[in-house]
Parts: sequence; C-alpha cells; structure tokens
Amino acid sequence: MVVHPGMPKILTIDDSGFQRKIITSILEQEGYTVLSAENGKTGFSLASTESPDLIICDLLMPEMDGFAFLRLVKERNLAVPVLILTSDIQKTTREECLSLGAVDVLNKPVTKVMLVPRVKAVLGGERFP
Amino acid sequence: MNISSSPPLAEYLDILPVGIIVLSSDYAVVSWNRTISEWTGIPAEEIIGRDIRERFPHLRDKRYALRIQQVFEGGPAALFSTQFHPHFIPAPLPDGALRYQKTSVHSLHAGGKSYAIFFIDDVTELVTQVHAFRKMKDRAYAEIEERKRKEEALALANRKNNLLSSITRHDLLNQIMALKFYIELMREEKDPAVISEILQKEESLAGIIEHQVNFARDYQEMGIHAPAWQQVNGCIERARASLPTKGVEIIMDLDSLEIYADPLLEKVFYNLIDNALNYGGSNMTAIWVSSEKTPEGLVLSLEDNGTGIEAKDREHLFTRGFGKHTGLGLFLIREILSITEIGIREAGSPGKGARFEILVPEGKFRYARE
Amino acid sequence: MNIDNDSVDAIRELINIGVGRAAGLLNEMTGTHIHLKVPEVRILRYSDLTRESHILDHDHLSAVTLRFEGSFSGISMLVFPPESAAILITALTGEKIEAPDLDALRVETLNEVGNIVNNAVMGSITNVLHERLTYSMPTYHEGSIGEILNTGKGGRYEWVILAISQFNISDLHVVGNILMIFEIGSLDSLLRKLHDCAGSAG
Repeated sequence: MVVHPGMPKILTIDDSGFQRKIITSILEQEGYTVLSAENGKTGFSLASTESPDLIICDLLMPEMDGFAFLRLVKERNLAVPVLILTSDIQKTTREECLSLGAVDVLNKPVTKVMLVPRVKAVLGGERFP
Repeated sequence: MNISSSPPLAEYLDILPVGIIVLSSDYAVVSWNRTISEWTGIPAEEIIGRDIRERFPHLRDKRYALRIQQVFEGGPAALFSTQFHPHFIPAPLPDGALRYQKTSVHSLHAGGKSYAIFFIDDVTELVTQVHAFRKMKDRAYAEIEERKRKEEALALANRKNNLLSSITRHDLLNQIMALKFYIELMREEKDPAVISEILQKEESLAGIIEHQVNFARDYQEMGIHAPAWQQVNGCIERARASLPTKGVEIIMDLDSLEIYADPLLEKVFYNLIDNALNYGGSNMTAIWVSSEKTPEGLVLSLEDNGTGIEAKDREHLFTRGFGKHTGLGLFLIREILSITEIGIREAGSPGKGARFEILVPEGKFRYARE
Repeated sequence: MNIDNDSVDAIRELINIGVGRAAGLLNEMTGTHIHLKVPEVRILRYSDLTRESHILDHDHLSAVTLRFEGSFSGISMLVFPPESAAILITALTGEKIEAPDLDALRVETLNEVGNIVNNAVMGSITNVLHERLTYSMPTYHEGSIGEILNTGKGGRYEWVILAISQFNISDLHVVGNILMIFEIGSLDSLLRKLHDCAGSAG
C-alpha cells in the first residue's frame, strides 16, 4: 500500500481482486492512499479502524453485500460517504442504493475519466441526487 | 460512399419483401428500400441523409440506443423480438392496425466506415396464427378441466349411490327381520289386546320400510345430490321416530344448528342412535346431543351413559366389517360425513358410556336464526 | 496453460459486468426489477463439461448461441432448463400463465433475451481487451447439451468457461447458465490479453 501523508484515504471494497487492482491503480495515480477489502464485513472493520475519507463499495459480494454494508454504515453511524460501484445498471437498483444512503452510484466498467472527477467531487463535499 | 447509389445492391434491396434500412454511425439514413417505403408511406428521397430519429424518436431510448451503438462498433447482431418490439418502425395496414415486426440489426463495414443494416420482417400473419393457437390451447385446457370436474362429480355420485344401496339394504333387512319377528309373535298370540299392539308395531315398521324405500328412490331420482344445509334437530327427531328407544331419553341442546352435509346425514344420526340403543346395555337411560365451538369449527357430541366402548374395540371401531351386526354402521357414517369434510371420532371411557364427537369445520355449520 | 485465480477473477468480473448490463436492458424493456447474484465461474475442459455440471444434465435445455471468431474463437451461449425458459419469458412479458410453454413467438423472445445477454458479455470482454471479432447470427437450439454443442464443430473445442448466473424476477427463481466455449488455443489467447490488460489497468 502506498501512503501519501496528508492525502485523503480511500477504502475500496470488492470481492474481485481484478476490480480492486484497477480501482487502486487509478486512485493511487492521483495520489490517494488506498486501502482495500474483499467484502462488507472486513470492509466495515477496516473502515472503523482506519477512518477513510471515502468508501467505494461493490454491490454483489459474498458474506455481506453492498446493501447490507450500507445498512450497517447507517446503523452504526459511520460518518464516511459511500460511493457504490456496480455492474448492475438497473434504475431500480440505483434508487435502492441511494435510499440506503449511498452518496452516488457508478457503473462498471470503471475508467479513470469516470471515477476521478466523482471522487474529487465527493471528497470536496458535493452530493449527487 | 453512398450505398444507395450502387445499382446492384439497391436493386436487390428493393426486390426483397423485407424492410431494409442502412444507417451510418450518426444515425443518418443511407438506404431506405422500397418495402419500408411502402410500409411507412415515406419515400426514400424524403428521408435519405436525415437522422432517422427525427421521424422515429423512440430509437433514442436506452433500450435501442445501447444495443445499436454496439452494432455500430462492430459488435454482434442485435435481435428485436416481436413480443418486446412489435412495431419497430410503425407501419399501418389498410385496416389501420399496425404490422407486427421482427427486426435484426447487423454491423456493416464499407469504405472504412461503420454502418448498421436493419432487416425488418413483417410477421403479422405469424402473430395472428400464434394468438389463435394459444386461444385454442386455452379452450382445450378449459374443456379438459370441465370434463375432469364432471368425472369427479360422477365418481362422487357413484360413491354415494353405492353407499346408499348398502345402507338401505342393511336397514331394510333390519326392519324386515323385526317385522318377521312380530309376525311370528302374532301367529302364536291369542290375546286381542296384545295382537293389537303387535299390529301397531308392524304398521310402524311397514311405515319405516316405506319411508326408507322412498328416500332411496327420491335420492336416486334426483340424480347427483349436492350437499345441503340440514337442521340437526330435525334429523335426530326423525331418527328417534324410526327407532325403538325403549325408555332411553334423547336430550338435545342444539338450538337451530344446521350442518352442511350430504342428505344422508339423517342416516348418520339414525345409525349412531341405533348403535347406542343396541350396545349401550340395559342400564343406559339417556343420550345427550350437544355442541361446542372450537378454534377449528364445531364439535357435535352424542354421548350416552351406557357401558361404553372397550379399549380393544376402539381401534377398529370405524373399520368396515367391525361390529356385532353387519358392521356397516360406523364405517358408512364416516364416509357420509367425509363428503363434506366432516370428521368423527369416539372419545368416551369404558364403563362410562360412549361419546361420539362429530368434527364440523368452519363454513360447514350455522345457526338458522342468524 | 496458466489458469490462475487472478484470471478466473478477471473473467468473473467481465461476465458480471455483462450480466449487469443485460439486466439493465431487460429492466428497461420490461419494467421488472431483476435481482442478480454473484455468478459462480468455473473453467473446465470441454470434455468434462457434461460430467461436471448437473445443471446442464438435462435432455431438454433451451439455448441461445453466438459464435465468435478472431484472435480468440468459440461460442457464447445462454442455457436454461426448459421450464425456466418459459417461466422467464412469461415473467418478462407480464403474462400470467399456469403452465407456460415455448411457442414460436416465445422462442423468438427468448432469442432476444439470449441475444442481450450474449452481446453484453461479449461486449464487456471485447471492450476491455480492445478486440474486434466477427460474429455469426444468434440461433436458438433445444436439446441436451451434447446435441446443442454438436451443431458446431465439436472436435475443435478445448476449454469452457462456465458461469452460473442466478436471477430472481419477482419471486421467480430462474437460473441461467452462460457458457463460453473456446476453440483450441483461444482461451490461452484470451488469458494472455487479460494479463496484459490488467498490467496496464485504468
């Protein structure tokens, strides 16, 4: 893990190593410190101990999926914005995530052009309806 | 390159009885064949070079745009089924209805540029046939269901008729035996007063026989009898009238209770009381008929203070062939009651009398005054 | 050949993305929400296919197939057990039928659903690899998996990616199987490209 002191810390949660590698690579290139976890459970413990500034979370994961993760975050009042990154492009899915407290929903495949501006905006305090 | 200006291809496209459209990757119409022109009433000159979405804005929807875009990028063909996209390019028939279409979109490369070629097939005839076929199939299923129901009703009717025949034979034989007994008595009797009494009993028995034969005839004549609401008081009264109760009181506490059961319900009570009279012993003085509501419905009890049923007999009580007479009684009773899902069990204690509980489910009992 | 966890992982993600896009399109078309689950992805030898997967052990499967050719070649197919196919189609079209069967119109509809899924999965893979392949017309087949596959050139197939993807549509549990069957040498080609790609991620 590359640490950039002073730069925001981002936690990425996805059961796919392939996906984690891509996201980590994109974000580290921008100078962010990136942590990663394989599912909602380990992601939550990491979030509690490391206090990231942003969480990027997948939906379909074993053990604890993205929906359950969002509920847990709300329940435990973890004050970290969660960006959902999913391959499920259905409008109904997006609505559900937003209603569970996600700050935005992005669709895979993830690209630098689509991810970086959103990350910057959320860290800068913006919310997307 | 203007595809529509290369004569051989354009001629072929015009001959085919399929609507053919070629778009360049900016959705501009490059070719518009005669078939699609006739279907839409839009001549080629009017639309070539223009964005097709101006005339057909639904093609901007995600459901089309995403898939067509993939075709422009050289991807595999996209199929648009009749079910989900019945009128891909709306084309009215002479009667005003729209043609049903089946569409496929294919990638085309020419002169270094990407195009998409649309084949739009008119499947109106096929759709009509399939819908007609589905209707026919549904009708066939409905007919089969109807036939099944009739067969079931017929089977039920047969079952009941067989039941009735057994009951009637059983009962008639009983009555006839009793009649013969009295006739024998009369033969040897000299006292006119006693003869008079015996005659009365014989008359009564003859009446009962007549009633039973009529009941059987009526039942059969009326064909398949649906279950009906019957007042329990009435059934028991009639049973009491037909049986030699010999000082045994029948006490009823039922109000205006009615039960939904096969018309043979009367036989049920007749047989239960008959059994009590036959097996209760000389010390039996009363039969109580009462009812009690339960979570499942209603329990109608017939309880006597006779000798009760021995433990060893209780197991076989309701089986065919059990009993001191011909044993058809309780088995038949259970069958009759089961026609409307009413159950029966024996819950008495040996030495303390028999107690038959008739279990009537919700919906199968009511009080007439309500 | 190197079929490591990373490769399986990458393929699973690509199929995930394809299925997600297909679900989005179907949702758009029908208004029904489709509940997706994590697909189970296995890489097997073609010769082991009928033995390894009990879901495919059926005499009357419904399959929509798409052949592709290029730097890697093979067949992509979406396979359903037959009751699943009819139930899926009538659920998507909103018809309430007790014992649905597949008539000509429904087969055509199933063909479109297969087309949407196959194209989305192929699209997902070719996008990431910046590959251009050529394709055959999608076709519908019924029969055992052996019969369905034998309509092709059986001797040339080596590896199969079997992705078992479950979707729930309004309480109906439909299990779709996505198979990608690769001609000899093709899977190696695909995996090599995936590796190169992952190396220069983003």
